[in-house]
Amino acid sequence: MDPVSQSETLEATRLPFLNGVYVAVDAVDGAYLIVDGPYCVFTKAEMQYCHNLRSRLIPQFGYNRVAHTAEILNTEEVQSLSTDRVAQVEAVFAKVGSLPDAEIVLATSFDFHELVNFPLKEIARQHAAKGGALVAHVPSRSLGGTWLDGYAATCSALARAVTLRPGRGRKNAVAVIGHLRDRDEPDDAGNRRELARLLEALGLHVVSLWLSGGGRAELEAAEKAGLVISLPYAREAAKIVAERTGAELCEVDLPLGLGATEKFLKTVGAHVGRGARANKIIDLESAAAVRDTQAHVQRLIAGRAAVIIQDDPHLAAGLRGLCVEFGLLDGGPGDAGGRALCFAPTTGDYASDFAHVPIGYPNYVEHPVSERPFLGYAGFRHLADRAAEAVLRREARG
Amino acid sequence: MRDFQMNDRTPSQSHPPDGPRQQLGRDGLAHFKSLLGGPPAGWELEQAAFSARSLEFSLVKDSRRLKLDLSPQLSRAPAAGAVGGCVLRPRGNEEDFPAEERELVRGLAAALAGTNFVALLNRLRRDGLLYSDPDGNRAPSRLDGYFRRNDHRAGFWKFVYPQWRCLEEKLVLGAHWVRINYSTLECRLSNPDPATSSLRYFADEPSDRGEDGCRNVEAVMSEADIVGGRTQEMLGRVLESAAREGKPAFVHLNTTCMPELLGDTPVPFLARVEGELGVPVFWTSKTRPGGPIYAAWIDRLLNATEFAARRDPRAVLLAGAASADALAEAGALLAGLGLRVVGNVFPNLDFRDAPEMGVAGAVVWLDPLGWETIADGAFLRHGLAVVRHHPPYGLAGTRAWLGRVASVLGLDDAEKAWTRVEDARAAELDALRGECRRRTVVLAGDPADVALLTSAGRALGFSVAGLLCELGFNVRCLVWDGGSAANRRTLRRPKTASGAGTVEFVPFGTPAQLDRELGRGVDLVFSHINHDRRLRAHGLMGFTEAAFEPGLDGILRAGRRLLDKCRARPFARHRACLTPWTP
Repeated sequence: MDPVSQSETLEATRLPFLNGVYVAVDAVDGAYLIVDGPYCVFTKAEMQYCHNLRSRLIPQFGYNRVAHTAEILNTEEVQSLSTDRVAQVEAVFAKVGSLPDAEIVLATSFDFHELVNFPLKEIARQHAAKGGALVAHVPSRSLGGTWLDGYAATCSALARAVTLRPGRGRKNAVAVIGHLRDRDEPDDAGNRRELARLLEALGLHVVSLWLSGGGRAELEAAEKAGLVISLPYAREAAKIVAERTGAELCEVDLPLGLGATEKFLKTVGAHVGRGARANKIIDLESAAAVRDTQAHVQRLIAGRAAVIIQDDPHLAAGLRGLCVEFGLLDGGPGDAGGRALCFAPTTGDYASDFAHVPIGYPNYVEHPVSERPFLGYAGFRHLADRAAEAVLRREARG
Repeated sequence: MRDFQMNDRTPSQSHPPDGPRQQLGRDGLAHFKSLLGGPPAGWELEQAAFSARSLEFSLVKDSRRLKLDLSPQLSRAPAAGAVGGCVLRPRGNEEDFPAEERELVRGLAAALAGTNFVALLNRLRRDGLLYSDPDGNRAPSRLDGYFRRNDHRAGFWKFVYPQWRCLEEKLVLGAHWVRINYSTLECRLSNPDPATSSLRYFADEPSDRGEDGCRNVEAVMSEADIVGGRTQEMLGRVLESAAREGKPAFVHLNTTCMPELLGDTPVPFLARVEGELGVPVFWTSKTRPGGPIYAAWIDRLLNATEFAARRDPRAVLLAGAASADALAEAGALLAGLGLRVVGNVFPNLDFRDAPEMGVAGAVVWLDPLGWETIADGAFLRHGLAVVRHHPPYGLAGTRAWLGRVASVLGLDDAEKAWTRVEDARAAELDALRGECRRRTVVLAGDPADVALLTSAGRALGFSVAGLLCELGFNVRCLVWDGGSAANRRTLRRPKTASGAGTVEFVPFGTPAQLDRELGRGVDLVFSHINHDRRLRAHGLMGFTEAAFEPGLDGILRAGRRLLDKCRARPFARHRACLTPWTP
């Protein structure tokens, strides 16, 4: 790959490993993260702070939820790597572990710290053995991993570390593991509500959602589930939880768009022996969703080109299906400046070239006050609404 | 506490006891060199700077550096009419010096012994260069005071996190150049999009997306590049590609932590890129001090400039004007002194954009704050006078700046020029003051923070309180007393007239007391935190020093901007519903 990349390409900006770890830590109440790295750890947390208006990572008054190990003055970061930093890093662990609201302490490394053979995992293990806050090491892939790798690795570390007792799962109680809870804003609240509603319609009750903003108790409630529903953002964590609790495992794709939502219901319904019930729900809900969005889709959306710029393959796959349902055509850079719809995060100035629907991570320009899901049937309606609005705004601009 | 100007009811300029530290200007340098006799053969004079108490300088020869202090001769019983001489002391133990250097120091000491120190300082002050002093007494930067700390539990009184601007990072190399950021992906994505300033944690983060004329190249090294040992080779390819594509005038290469750790260096490629492709490469890195790099770069650019044999003393280069408005007003102010601006430098360093530069006689800094890394030595060596003073913020600041420009460049009529400028804006200023007098602005923090905001000088270049009072605002300084009743008594000062406004000092010790004060008739609060919970609890807006601009039109715009913020208070009838910040 050519190392020189320029902003004018339409490739998605690939976000690195730590961004995903931060998103995960922000999604667990009472979680702290120690990053063996420079003070840039703070400024990187600011990306999540800008994406999530309710982010808890860098509170105005308090201990940073994302703490770095460079709490030394007058030492340049690169040079400091050649010094003995063990006592200094242990002090950060001791401080974070003693915070009254620290339920979980995770630890990982920044990229150039990943290269050196620093005993971070061993320090984490020693502090885990002391009791108190749960301490877990997240093996760093800061050099080569993506943000989704970081999110998944954090979930896996949690799955291994939290208390989960086998044999306590109940019928009809499900743990949904692998939800991407990127922010504490009403778009995610809407997604979580819609996931729970779809599963309730199948007669299933969500006892634990990973990740959801809940704390250690929410994570450990997964032991009450007889079924682990695995969403794509933490497949390994879902397997670990199912293995540890003895629950059944059902892997599903992201229910984004009508077809994907129907597939989600059918897959789960079939797994719990309620396929007919799933079909009945689909008949009712799909018909209603089509009726509600028909005018928007046929009058404003269909027939245009669509460009999907995402570094999240699960979201991109869902959006591709949605575009087919909307009657959108495959688009590309040549459609810039025209009538094309673009489904992309806000890492580029896509609004100047397209009718831009901001979706994905990060989304700096939209912070809804009311629930605005993009998953399930409710999400389908909202996406039709947003796509139509983007088209009309673009046309109004000329 | 030592900086807190409690006895100075009028927030104005203040300096540490020995006054501001200045470096030598063109004429001062020439005079001092003559006093040193050359300097002595084979030795170079470097880093000459003075305060009211001493003059420090270095003599450098190859790898040897003699650091010397010149101070006034103190006599217990000076004879009547005696003016006193000077004492020259080396730093370090003179006995450790080689005999030749001991002899040199003694010879210089003897030559300078009869120099009248006061007269010497007066001579040097005529064109002394005022720098913010990195060794001086100033508050911790945001890097040390905030970013490098994880624990912010105790700072309920903190509103002030000054960001020492490093403007050299904002250099522009003309209309057609390339900046290569050579880093890892994790490093590259360590900040939010700069366009999202409303969302940022700190209120004064820049909102610019980039500079016109700059093509940014993100050279991202992957894990495979690093583990495979291919990064040095990759750096060469990136440099060559950037230099070939579109034939830029310059390439700025910025290397970050990972390449520094790996030992990557562009040095082996520079000869080819610069020699064969003809594209100068400016290399800045994470671990090398920036000052000498920038100085050498400016020297190189100046060496490539063709200077006229006779300079036009009325032609000046304007330095450090950050906006089009600032450029326009500075140009007009200088025109009032009979000067013409033949080029704008800093942030732009492509001197080819100033074709008349070769005739310029001086560099005039509008706002030098943030540019301290780049010393003026290169300009002095090329025969340019340099005016470096407090930036012209507010009425008093603008007047002082005009006076300083005139005195350094030997011009008359600075006061007339000032009067014309002031008279033209008098009516507008009066009207603005009428509105400002109805508003109360809070400056809060510990005594050091309040001192920073109420005194001018090296930190911000101006006194925030002073400018607010010039505009007619009522300034209420809320000073954290550290929980001490004794401090509380000494910190309190009643409301007093200051400039066109008023100033008062009110102590507080607890979050509840601070919260109560923020709810007591306050219209606006200084805070570097962008969305400060303490302010939001009262529906108050915040502001920072970035609200102010140089010049008189600048202060008028700032006044209107601050009044708008005073008026823009949401939930006027529902304040009680707002989320409290106190436990």
